[in-house]
Amino acid sequence: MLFSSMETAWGYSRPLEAGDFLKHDSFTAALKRDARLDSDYPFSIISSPCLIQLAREHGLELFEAQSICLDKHILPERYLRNFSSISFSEQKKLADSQVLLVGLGGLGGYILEILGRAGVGGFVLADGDCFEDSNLNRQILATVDTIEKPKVIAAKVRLESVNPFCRIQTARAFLKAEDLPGLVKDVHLVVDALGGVEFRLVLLRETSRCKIPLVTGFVAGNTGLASTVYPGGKSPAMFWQGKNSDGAETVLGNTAPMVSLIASVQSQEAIRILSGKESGLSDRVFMADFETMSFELLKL
Amino acid sequence: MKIQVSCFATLSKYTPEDGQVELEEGATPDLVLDRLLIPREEVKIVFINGQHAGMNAVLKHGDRLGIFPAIGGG
Repeated sequence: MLFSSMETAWGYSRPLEAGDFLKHDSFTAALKRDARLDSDYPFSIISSPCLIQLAREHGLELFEAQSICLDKHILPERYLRNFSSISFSEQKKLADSQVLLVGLGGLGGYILEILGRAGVGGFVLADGDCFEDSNLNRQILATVDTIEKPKVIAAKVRLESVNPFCRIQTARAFLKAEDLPGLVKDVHLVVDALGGVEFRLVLLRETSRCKIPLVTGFVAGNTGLASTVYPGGKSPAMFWQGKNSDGAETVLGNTAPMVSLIASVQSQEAIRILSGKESGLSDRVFMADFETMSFELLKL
Repeated sequence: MKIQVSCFATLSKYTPEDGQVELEEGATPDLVLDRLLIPREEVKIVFINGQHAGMNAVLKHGDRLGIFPAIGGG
């Protein structure tokens, strides 16, 4: 079994019983009592501390409490500034969605930060690597405290502190093709935040076979690209020809401005797709070049 | 005819100084690689006017050619 942390498996770990419904009823009553109306918004609002306290008092998992909250048309205040760029119904879709994030280095760290704050409900986090000194120039999860520690552990700790309403599974491993069907079966989207060209082709093939969309990003020095691949759609795989040692990044390195820019573009694509909007990068590639300060949407 | 050429990442050093190359009618991206002495094995994908194109596509006056190496950093 690849998962090293199954304590927060998706959904309910057992069938719902009559007591659960009573628990939900009393939680809902308390929620409605403590939520506040605000004439500026077409929904009620509840603060995070209050929601956490109510969940504890009623013996609910935080993701479960958040789900009931959104079902009752009450917005957790932590998402208030997402509105109206993200509508209430889109926020609910985000909370109900699961993502496999492959790679927790430069791209992956920023993507996790953004998607966790945005309100994506569940993450499968996969990376077999540990942080090292040379990661500190750009990887947000790399700090003097996490050097030599597993990236998945740092990612889980960070996400729990940013958004405890998320469900998290971790896979501390450099993935192989045979790992992917099991990892993707419960997710709505795969985000490719890998380093190196080689495994990207495997991830592309397996996500396509499992009929799951893939949002990919790849960077080298002052150049960065991002694209979305739907099963059967066009892909930027031609950029990934050769061995890991052939990638331009081995010569040019990677810097925080470009890595965080591409991570932002990937995150926005993920939010669009998970919240039910149309992808903006299907069959296309967003390209940014800081050397010439040029930005272009390329067609595949 | 003149076309505009941009080479990216490790290939950026091959971008002509004024960004332009003078070519005869019927020229292809393949010929541009020859003209600019860009090692063929380092070129993985090219775009003409922002659209993915083959190495033997026919270029027209004023076209923009983008040339990329393998990129996979994260």
